[in-house]
Amino acid sequence: MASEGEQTVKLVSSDNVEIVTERKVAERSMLIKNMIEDLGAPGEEPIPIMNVSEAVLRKVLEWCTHHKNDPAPSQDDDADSRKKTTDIEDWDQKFMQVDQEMLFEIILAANYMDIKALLDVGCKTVANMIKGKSPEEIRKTFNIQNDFTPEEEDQIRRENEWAEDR
Amino acid sequence: MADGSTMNSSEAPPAAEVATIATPINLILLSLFMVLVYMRLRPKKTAATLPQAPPPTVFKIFTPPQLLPYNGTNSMPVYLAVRGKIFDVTPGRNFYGPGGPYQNFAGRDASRGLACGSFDPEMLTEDLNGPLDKLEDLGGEEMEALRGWEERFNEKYLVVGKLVPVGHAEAEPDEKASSRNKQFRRRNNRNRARQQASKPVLRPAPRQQSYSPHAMVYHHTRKRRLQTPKSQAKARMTDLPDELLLQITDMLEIPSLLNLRLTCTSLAPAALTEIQSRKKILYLHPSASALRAVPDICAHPFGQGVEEVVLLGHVPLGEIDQALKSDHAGKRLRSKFATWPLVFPTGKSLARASSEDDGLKSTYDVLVESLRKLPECRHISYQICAPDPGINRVQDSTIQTFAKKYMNAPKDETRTGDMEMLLNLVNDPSLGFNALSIRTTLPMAPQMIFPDLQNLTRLELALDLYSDPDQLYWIEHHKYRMACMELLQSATNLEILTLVLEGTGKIKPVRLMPTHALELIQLTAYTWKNLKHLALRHLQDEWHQPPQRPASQILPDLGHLKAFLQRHTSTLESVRLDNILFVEMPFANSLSAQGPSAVRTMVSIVDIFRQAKVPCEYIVNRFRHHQYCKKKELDDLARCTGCDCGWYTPRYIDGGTTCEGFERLVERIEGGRGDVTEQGLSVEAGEREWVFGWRDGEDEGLGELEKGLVVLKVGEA
Repeated sequence: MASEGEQTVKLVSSDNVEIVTERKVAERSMLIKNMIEDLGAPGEEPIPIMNVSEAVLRKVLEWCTHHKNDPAPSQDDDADSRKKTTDIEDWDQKFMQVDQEMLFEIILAANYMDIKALLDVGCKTVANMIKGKSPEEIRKTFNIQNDFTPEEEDQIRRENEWAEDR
Repeated sequence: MADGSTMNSSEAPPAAEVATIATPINLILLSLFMVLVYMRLRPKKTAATLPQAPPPTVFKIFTPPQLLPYNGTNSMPVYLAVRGKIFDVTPGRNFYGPGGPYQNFAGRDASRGLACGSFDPEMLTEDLNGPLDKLEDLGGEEMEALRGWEERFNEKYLVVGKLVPVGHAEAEPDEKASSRNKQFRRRNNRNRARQQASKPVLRPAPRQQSYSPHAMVYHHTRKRRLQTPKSQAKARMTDLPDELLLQITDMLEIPSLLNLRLTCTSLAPAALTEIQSRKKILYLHPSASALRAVPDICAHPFGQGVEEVVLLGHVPLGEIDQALKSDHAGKRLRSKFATWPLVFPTGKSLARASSEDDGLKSTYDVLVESLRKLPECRHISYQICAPDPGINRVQDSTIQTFAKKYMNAPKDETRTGDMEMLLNLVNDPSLGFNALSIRTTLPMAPQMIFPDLQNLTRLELALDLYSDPDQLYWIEHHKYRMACMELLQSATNLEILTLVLEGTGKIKPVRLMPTHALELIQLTAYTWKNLKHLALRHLQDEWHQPPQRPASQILPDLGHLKAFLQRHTSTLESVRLDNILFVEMPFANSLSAQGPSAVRTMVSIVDIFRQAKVPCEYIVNRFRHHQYCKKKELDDLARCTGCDCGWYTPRYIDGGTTCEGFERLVERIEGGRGDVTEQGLSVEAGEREWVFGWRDGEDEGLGELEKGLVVLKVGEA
């Protein structure tokens, strides 16, 4: 058990790049953790991370390395994470200062690799980017095309009025 | 000319030899240049014409073995079959061709794989000569995904044939087919070549498609999980799978969600879903125009799942004055609400409303009819339209509207109308309300007769008195108290009772003693046979300091409380006491004295419930608001409760920088296990749990007043 921390695992990204990392780091991902448990012999068999490219995988592992000693999420965390706070740790905030493409890649990868905490941070980052912005500003931020017809937009505007918080 | 000379200089021939421009070398260079220009321009043209898919030229019947060679290898086009239709996906060969993420679908029936979003080999029909995959075992979601793919293929790619099983009547013998195939392929190739204005070689340069390798990987990733195609562009917000979008929207507050809903069609559904999943309260603004809108609101997308209807009622004069005093509000009143209809839909004003407006047959009927469209809604509330964080956009305007109404309408009539309306709605069996919250002073009429409120299982009653200029309810508080009592006694089936001292939405509350609440429950103690949850809540605002009464005055009140609780121990499941009495206690004096003290009595009450295993929560807000909270007081409290809870000074609590203070507190607690959390500090000592910190004020919708600092929970340790 004591040596578990020093064990390494080989991960293979979708573009076939092999990345060797500490087992403890990799096991932040429940996907990998379950795989290792299923495979039994970590370190020998490379683990394919089919849906994540090298660049993204390295970024994700960077996060895992920083958070490798975080306590394992308990059952209660589910309820807690529903708190509507969008506070992000300083380190995570810096970590998430990437271009948007990478940000969404990280979110997708975190989802695929089942790293709840990272997914949470990613979603919070996006939520913070949305907060307090007008629809036009949100579109600009995320490079979104307004594809509503004027009628649809008008309809939604009228519907929205009922819930406005003024 | 210019290129000629530059070429010359770059070639650096002797100047004398260049007699004319039309030297052979110049002509060669010129033609080379033109070829280059042509090559340069051509791909742009390609890009411009690419999106147009050519119409199908030859429609052909394929069997699975005949389809197999069309996998992009050996310069063959890439075909794949979806539900019997064969698509030519060669333009997308970066995805479907050799080396692409979807290459295993090339030349195969891809239906099952696309539907399930899986690349597993078993998704492909193994026996090419066998029957086609009927997909009968797929679920609705998978079929939906498949339809998505099919639509997309229909939009983007040519349908070139139909897939039938080997031996099917429509199937053609192999040889004939293959010769035709060649013919077809050539024609098709030519066609495509013309279309794309590129070389008739079917392998486009990898970069010719607009996908970067990175985006391709992403696309791949996304398809596997989302299973519905949307965009092949770079990773963008709009491409996130719905479950991730919902995680993001979960963290947004309503105004942001509304804005997000307006951005584009792919984000709108997630925003709407999230809005619909939030707790919704329908505030009914007491004006004819608001009531006319009720049917619309109830039929509105946000109207689904309204959990609570709130009638906004009476505004005391003090608030109106305040609203009018502010320049801003005054201006808005003049500009915006000058012609607002001033009717309230009950009693006489109801008659006035219907005579004024023929379209309004009876406002009450309209309201009842609309509320019937909210079958989920079991909770009705009454509160005043005051600036309150919980009230939606009507808040300011409501006060001003009321200001005008108030000036015109006699007060008692209005108040009677409010109460009549409320009780009628509560008792209307077709609406099925079983929870009533009165969050403001009970609206009263001179003679008030309460109907039986047997359907009510939950009642929240604020004992909330205002500094009316005439002090009517305060002076006649006996009458008021009797009215509250009657209300409580007519609700005989109550299971959950919450008495709140000082409701929300006040401007200038008159001090009300916890005694009033205790007196009330003492008077009504025999009413309920099945009371399960009791909460007595004395909400405290920071800015007012509780008067202190000597313990000798408080003890009788505690006696009432104890008696009441003891009478109901058999049914009670939880008790919650916020600031009842502690707030009035002169700690140091009473505790240092010998004999019974209020604190000790309080603790003994809590202990009754601990023994009966009824969870009991006692919350003291005092320490936040009370500057005079001293070490000695807490020490005394600790001694009485048998738990050394240490001490702290309030300055560590404010501003959120609490840890230092809390950690010191932990050090001082002996025999208890301390735990510093985001909210503060919790200490378990023996069977008690102390919590120092602030609580989320979310649970019962009573605004933000609840910022208790000491919570004593007993029972569920």
